[in-house]
Amino acid sequence: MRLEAYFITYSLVNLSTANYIMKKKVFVLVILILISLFLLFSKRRAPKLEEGLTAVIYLPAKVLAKTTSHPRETLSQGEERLLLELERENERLRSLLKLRERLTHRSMAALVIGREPTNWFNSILLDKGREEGVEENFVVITPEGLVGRVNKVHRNSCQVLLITDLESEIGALIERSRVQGVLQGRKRGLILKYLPLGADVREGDVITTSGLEEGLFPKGLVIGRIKRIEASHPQDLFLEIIVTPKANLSRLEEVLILK
Amino acid sequence: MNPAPFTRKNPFVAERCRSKPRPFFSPSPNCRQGRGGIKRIIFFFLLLFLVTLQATLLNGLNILGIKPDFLFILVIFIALHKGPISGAWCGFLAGILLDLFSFAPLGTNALSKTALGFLLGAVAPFLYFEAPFIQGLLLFIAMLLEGIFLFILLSSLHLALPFSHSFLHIILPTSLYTSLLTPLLFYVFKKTGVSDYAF
Repeated sequence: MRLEAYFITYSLVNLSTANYIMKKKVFVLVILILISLFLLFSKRRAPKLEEGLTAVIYLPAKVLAKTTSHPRETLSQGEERLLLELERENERLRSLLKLRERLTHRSMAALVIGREPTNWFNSILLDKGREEGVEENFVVITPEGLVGRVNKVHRNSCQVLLITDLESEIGALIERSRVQGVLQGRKRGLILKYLPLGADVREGDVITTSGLEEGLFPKGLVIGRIKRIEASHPQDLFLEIIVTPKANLSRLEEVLILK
Repeated sequence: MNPAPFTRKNPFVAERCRSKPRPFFSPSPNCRQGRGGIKRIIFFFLLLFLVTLQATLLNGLNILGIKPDFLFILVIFIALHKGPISGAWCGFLAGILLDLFSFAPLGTNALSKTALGFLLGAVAPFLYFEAPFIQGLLLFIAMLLEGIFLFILLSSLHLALPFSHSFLHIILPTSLYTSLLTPLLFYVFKKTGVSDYAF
């Protein structure tokens, strides 16, 4: 009798402990999911929290970007490499300066401090933000061509959506024949859409911005070149054209932000 | 009755700590009781370091526009070794940090990684995950699940991504690439004793 009572008590204690642990697990999971959903669906997207966190979080990326762009090596360790790196950087900055002189818009140079950490989007982080006068939808370029537009602005940094992102759509025209279309981002390139079947298009044609999106992208900025004209089906109304961006978007280091 | 033999050992070091050499960065939990706060801070900085790495230097590992997700490997490692609560916490923190760097709306990665961390932690007792092949396979399946979950989430937020394109160009290659690196990173995480520092 006593043994039975012991076993019953023992199993009840065990059961209540297991219940408590289970409840705790579910509670933690529910709380974390609720916080995530709040952040996801709140209209203002907790801007102060985001602002505060980004200020701290982007700091290592900034330090890293500046360290890698100016490697600290002693002369004996790698004098030649250091000089070569500085020479390359000088060259890049000189071409940026030349581009800046050519432009009619006011502009500022910015350093790329990071890239999109996931594979879902194509974006970069720059070291200039609200304090330096950056605003949303400012256009970002390099001497080679268009890079993208500013999407999110923080106090001392901003996020740029690249033209190759799936979310990016730009009004574009073929420089030679002045035919207009819409350029859409693909994972590793661009697609020029809505060009009629008989449009005057050749491989190698230069694509520029058409300036039609209410002043978002100024007219005449070089975007890329036509790589391939896809054979369309007879039932299709439009051509689909593969475009290669002129700027090397995977190797960006310094860019110009147009104000 | 013989008296207990006199030994000149340091009384402040627990016997368990002396018994076997511990790997660097991995003190036995018994020797570090009461230092949970410091451990968690260290773990948070480790996550921050990994996110920074993911957003900067890891672009060098980019193959055809795809890079591995080191943070997800860490989340799954913690979930498998420490259970669902640690997995969910680790997933939540890693996801939030990732969201701050990403174009994705804040909370997207936090939600998906929390759910996957919890799920893997909950099924861990029924799995054998010591073999490198199994580790890779587990990661591959978990990443596929996370990818599909993220696709549904992003689609519901009006980020129009065609499923076939997303699956073939993002979800599948990322899962394959990350799962190939998983055994190596699991080995490194195990040797460094990262799971002792997790939440």
